[in-house]
Amino acid sequence: MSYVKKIQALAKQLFELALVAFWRSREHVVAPEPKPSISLGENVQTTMNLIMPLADPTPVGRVLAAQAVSATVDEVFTGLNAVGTVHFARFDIIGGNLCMLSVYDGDFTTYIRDFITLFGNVFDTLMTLVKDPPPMPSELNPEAFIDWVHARDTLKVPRDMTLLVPELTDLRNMPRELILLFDANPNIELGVYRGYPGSSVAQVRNALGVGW
Amino acid sequence: MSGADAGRAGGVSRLDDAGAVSGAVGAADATDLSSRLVDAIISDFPDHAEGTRPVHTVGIGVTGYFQPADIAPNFCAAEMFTGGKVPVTVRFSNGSGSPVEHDAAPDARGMATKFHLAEGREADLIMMTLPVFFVRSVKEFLKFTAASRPEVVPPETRWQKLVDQLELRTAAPVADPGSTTTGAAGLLRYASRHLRVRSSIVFMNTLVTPVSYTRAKYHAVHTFRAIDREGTVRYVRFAWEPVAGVRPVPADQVASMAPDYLHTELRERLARQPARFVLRMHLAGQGEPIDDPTAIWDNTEPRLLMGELVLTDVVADQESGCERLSFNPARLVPGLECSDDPILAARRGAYEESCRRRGGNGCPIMGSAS
Repeated sequence: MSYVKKIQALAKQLFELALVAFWRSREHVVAPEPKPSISLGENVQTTMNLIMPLADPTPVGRVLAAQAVSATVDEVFTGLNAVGTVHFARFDIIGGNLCMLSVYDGDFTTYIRDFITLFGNVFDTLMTLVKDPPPMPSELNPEAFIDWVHARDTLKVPRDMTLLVPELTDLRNMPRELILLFDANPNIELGVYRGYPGSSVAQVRNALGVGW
Repeated sequence: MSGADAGRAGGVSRLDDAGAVSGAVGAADATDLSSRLVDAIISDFPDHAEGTRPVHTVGIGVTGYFQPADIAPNFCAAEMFTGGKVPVTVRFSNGSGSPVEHDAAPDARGMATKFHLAEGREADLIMMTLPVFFVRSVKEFLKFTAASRPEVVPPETRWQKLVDQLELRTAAPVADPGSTTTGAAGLLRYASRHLRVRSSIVFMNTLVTPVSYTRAKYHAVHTFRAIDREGTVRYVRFAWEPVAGVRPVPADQVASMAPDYLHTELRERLARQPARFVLRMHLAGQGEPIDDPTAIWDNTEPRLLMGELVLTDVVADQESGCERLSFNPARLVPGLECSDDPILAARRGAYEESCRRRGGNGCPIMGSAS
């Protein structure tokens, strides 16, 4: 890309940022609360994408985070086996963030409570490495920890994005509402594929005959 | 009708428990309503040509066969799922009611499949690339079509365009190519006031132009009752998925596509090799809306592979072998029934009326399970 084009692109982005800042000061956009999970399928294979900015995102800080996670693998995996509702979970470092990405069955709050009970001390250790940690230990502050995780979970964007802005009265304003919503929620989940939708961990393991 | 069936899926139930829904309108009223529906649709297309379909006017017919999957009879006892290969006729189409072919125009595409069963029985599955329908009731549909009538829209001034950019808004609708009018303006106003219409409008705006009719995914939109051999009823939705995958024309190439490229491509493709689709049957979960075609079902519920469609030949005589054919979403056989979706019920009459007006074959529906 030529310098002229680069400068033009930069100027465009700066202009857009200024516009977003202007509209942010005028309009407060809040993501709608999650709808009640009535259907069985809505209560299985739910995603939780916990994005935790590292306090030290330099290579040194990232190595420290990697070592900390590596030292807790047995504890975490044994704990996840005991939770019994997790399809998969993994830790990643992505762009200066420590991420725990998982797919689980059942209720979000129950899932996090199980975490706290079964391997909360792992998170207590990891929390020393992340920015703005919740009150520790998690075992003594479960509600604060649940709220903290919820705030750092990605915003789930449905295929029908109009569901994110139900109060809208003029569809032509939808881009602005979405821009402000994405501005307030930098981490977004855009879509989830399920190879065996509607099945819980328990059903899959039972069908495979592999027990617990 | 049981309480659990009142608009939402109550999971699996027994056929004996499923109450019938009475029409509550007389035959004359139903005919009048069907006629009004067809007139309402035609009114949105000023260049509609008499003797043609009111929407999905431009189409092309192909033939082939459907091979049900081994597991299909476990979930639906309808004839096309319980035996061997079933011959089919498929009509691909563009959604517009204009008789002028514009294959590259942004539009929903249609895929109507007729299963030719034993002893002359037929069953149809009618699908489109839009995953939801526009409205939930006939009353809403009439208002929707009234709102969509073309109106003159002045082009936006440069100042208005600048204000739109500063307000992070989409630009105002523009007139259709070669015209000073568009139905989009009224539609946008209507959708702004009606929450349930919005998703279809947003999906319409995100529809892509496929490289081929056989490289798009098609949705039946409505919910049906699938009944297995034991009489177990499941609420389901169908979709055709191309085995070769979904593939759109790159956005910067759409404008250069020939007006009839989809027809040409299909003829050339089938001359080389068959085109294949698989039929997915999506099971409703507990609480899923089953009488609302505007509601999208998420991908959290089980989906089954019910069989494979193999398209082999273009119909030689398009007029008699395809254009005269009547497709109707309510033409079903025992084992598959319409749900209580009021739009689905209204489409039965509207399709029959449309067929009658253009002198099509196979209407009204006879011997249907619906």
